[in-house]
Amino acid sequence: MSSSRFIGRISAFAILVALANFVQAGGNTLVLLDNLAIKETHSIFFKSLQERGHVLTFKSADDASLSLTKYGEYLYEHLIIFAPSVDELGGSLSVEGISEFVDGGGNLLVAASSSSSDLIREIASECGFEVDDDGAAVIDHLNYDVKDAGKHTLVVANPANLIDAPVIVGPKSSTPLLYQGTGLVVDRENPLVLTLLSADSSAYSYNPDNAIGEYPHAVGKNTALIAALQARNNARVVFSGSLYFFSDEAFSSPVQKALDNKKHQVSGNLQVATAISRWVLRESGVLRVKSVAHHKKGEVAPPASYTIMETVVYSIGIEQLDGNKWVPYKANDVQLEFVRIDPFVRTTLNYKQASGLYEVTFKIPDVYGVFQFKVDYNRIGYTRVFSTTQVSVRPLEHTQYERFILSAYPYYSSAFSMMAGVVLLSFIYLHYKEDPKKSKSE
Amino acid sequence: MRAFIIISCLALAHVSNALPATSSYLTDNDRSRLRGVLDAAWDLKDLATIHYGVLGYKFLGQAVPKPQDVCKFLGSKTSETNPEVLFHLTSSWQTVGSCGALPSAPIVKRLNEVASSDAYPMADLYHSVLGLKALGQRPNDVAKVLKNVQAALKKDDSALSLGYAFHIAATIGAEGRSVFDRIQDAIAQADEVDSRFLQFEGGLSITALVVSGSFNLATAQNKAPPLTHEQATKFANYFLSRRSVQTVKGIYSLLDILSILSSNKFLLPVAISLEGSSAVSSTNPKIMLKVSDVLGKPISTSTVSVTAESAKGAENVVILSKKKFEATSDKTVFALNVFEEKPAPGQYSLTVSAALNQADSRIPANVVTTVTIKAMCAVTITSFEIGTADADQTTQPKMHKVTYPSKLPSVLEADSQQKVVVRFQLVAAGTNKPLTVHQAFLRLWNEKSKQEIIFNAEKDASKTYKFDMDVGAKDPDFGFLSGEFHADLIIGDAIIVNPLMWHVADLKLSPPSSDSKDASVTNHAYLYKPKPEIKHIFREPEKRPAAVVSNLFTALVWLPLLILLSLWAKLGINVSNFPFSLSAIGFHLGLTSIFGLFVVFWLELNMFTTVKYLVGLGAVTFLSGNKMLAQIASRPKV
Repeated sequence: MSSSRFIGRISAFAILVALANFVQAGGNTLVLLDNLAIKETHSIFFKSLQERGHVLTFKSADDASLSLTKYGEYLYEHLIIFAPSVDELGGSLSVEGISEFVDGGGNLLVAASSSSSDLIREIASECGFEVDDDGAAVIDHLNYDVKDAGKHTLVVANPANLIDAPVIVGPKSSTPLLYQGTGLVVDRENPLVLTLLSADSSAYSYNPDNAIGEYPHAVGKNTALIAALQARNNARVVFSGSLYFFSDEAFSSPVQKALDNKKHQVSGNLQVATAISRWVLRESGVLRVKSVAHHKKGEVAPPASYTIMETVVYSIGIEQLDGNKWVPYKANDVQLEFVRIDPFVRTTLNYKQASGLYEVTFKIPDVYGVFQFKVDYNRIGYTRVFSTTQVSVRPLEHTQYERFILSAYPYYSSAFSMMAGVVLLSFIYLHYKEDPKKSKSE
Repeated sequence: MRAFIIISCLALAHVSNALPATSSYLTDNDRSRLRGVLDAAWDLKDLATIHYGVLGYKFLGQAVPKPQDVCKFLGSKTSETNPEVLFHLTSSWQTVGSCGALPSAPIVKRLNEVASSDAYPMADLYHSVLGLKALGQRPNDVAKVLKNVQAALKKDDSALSLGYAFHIAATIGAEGRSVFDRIQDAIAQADEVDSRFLQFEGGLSITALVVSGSFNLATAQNKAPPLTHEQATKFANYFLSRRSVQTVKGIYSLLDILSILSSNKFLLPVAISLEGSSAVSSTNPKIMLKVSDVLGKPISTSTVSVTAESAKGAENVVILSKKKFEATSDKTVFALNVFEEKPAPGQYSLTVSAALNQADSRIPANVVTTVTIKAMCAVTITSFEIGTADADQTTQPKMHKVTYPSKLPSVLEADSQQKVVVRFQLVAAGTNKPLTVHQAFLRLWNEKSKQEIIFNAEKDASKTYKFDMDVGAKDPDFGFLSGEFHADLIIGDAIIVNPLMWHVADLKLSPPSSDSKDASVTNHAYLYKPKPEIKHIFREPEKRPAAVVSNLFTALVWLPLLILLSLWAKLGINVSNFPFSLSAIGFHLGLTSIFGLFVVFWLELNMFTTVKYLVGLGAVTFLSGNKMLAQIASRPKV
């Protein structure tokens, strides 16, 4: 009875933010295409999505019946736009609608090309990227494929230029990637934007048919080929400057740099595209908080309040989505903060193999007030894990101070000697009988 | 002027008379890739997949692997009644060829039943008629089948339905005449994409079904299909663009339609494609052109003459016109030495026409296409100079000459008052002609911070590339530059054979005066990293005096009481006034207990329990004290 009341009180205090709770594998995906031929030329990519449990709805991007919402609810969890040249979206879909969809937690994968429409450019700038001008293509005169049509726009991208985040782009590999498309410029001021794949130093993005007049928008390693954004609501956006990157042709082509004799039997595009699609469609890097518990050391239930300088045990369970089930997430860099406006303690949580929980034991500071246990885990590629639990920390009770202080013994002694004095003096004063003999002699 | 107009009109007329060609064909690489995909059929799971796999292998001229297993699988399906299953069964049985005799009587009966019933959709009619064909039979009641087909077409005249109808009519033979007129309707439904492709909504299989049906029906009727050569070429373009198809059925459709488009009696699309590189240079002066059908075979038994009509470069400079390609050992490949025309480096669009020496009704007399070729050259860097100068232009820059591919031996130092100056010229190798390239960048690269800044070298009127970098100037993107940098020159263009990245020199840029340090360089990486740990520092306990001092003073505190007691003992005290009454004993006991309680409070109790006890003790002490004092007061004075 009393323990259930305790728990009730604690859960009333606890504020748990775990936005990833609703995530399920698969889900409805709307695929917008320039024309239905793209469904065939990119069949391996779409097939891999379907095999992983996604329900794909293919529509032409100018289909008059397009709609993302019905009765105020989103019909789709994910949106894939493989329609670089669409000028106007059909139906009720618009750029604002797409940014609202992302604000509402929807995930977005967009592929552009060298001839991208203004619409795609607008969607990109809503997400913190900039697509280079119409006609501009990524050119690399030093790293182009032997199959290049003559303008050196079929670029061999170095896998070393992939972002160092296996959760997004898959395990490290040395197989080069084929890329043909426009360059992206990412907003450097935006901390949420990540460059997943950048070009080599010798690359630049410009119209291959025009002489370079002004400085190109994207040069060298600043040329983003594929960029991503994980918004604060954990919605994910991936923008690729190349639709070709996801095509069957790119997936199954051999790669050989024209100035190099090393031939790779097949490009690394399939692996990277699969990893990226897994990430953007919320199959990898999805975390959630399973449980939060805290108590005094040696106890099991959380107390109503803590007293300063007590030793507290805090544990949190963090889970990762793996296919359809949640499995414990293991890392060695999850940190706990004990915060009263500012953090007083920040410590690393230890993963316990047996329980699958992160745990730490620490001593509460000698400051009282309302504190929060705060776990804010923000790593590249993972959904943000944010959990706060509020507790009060009170000062010592009057009995909890030290009683027998050696240097205070003179004070204790004086009090006790005074008490003894009072007892004796009162007795003697009240019952004293003058000795008549003595007084006489005096 | 008038002459010019006439000439250009003639030129236009010439082009519009000629018919286009597709620019690709099914290469051996494509074939082996398609075969790889077809191999998925041999895990023997799905009848349709096996059927298309068997057919696809036949088109590729491959023997079916493990035919006994395939036959065994097919044999397990002979009792099915679904016309689609029976169609796949009979057709693959017949194609495999080595399965022995099929117990065909019940199948024929069932298929005839479906074909002459009007309850089945078009697809089932198709399956039953083609199933019968595979068994070497015609439907029993041809008129009834045709009636059913017409009825089904009334209900549904989509491309798919029409495609099925064409195949049925083609199988039936001469009686299928009535369906022949519908080919025109079907072709009209095709969508044109990029004015290069013709396709039906629904993709490769449907497009292939309709087009192959049209050709088969035309063959059966021995009448040319109502298709222009241009349309056939656009369809061929579409099919060839789908060479990367990944499904077994798609591969069968593709191979089937390509073989029809390369061997029918009416229309043969011609493929003109570049064989090998599109670039000509001094080492590779010839352009190789392949003129073939869509499967890469010669289009005709007669010889083909290929002519380069013209080659136009930038600003419409014509470098050649009316030159004949030479034949090579391969019957389909023709070569032309473009480089002997001494083309300036650049891109050229080469218009090529192919004509048969002996007319063939299936092939237009003149097929024209345009291919883009490049004349390449090697680039040489001449007079490369790098140096420093004062930013305010007061002194002549101090330049150092560097020759490719060596590096400036000394480190070039510059401070914020100076600028780095680079000058160089590019010429085509072996000539003195200055060359303009697309990419002439100077890259500064800091090995430690991985910072990379790329500058675009600009060209002046004398075609000298130059580039000034003001070290003190603040670049909005990078802040002030300081530290040690590698300077690399990147030269690249689509028309040069030796693009290069040359480590020219090492630069040491001194930072500007320290007060103008710029902190605008934003780096958000910290957001995703663990933060430094914080350990709380507890308040230090106050310093306490030494134990000796405390003990000494404790003893001193007790001293007055001891003195009192000893003096009293010496004096002797008479307390015989003590009345041995309950109240007197109670009061003194109570008072002593109260003080005793205080001692216990100090030792272990908390305030509340102490107060509780104190209330009881206090009450007793108060009452008995009151009574005792009253007694003492009432005592007679001695």
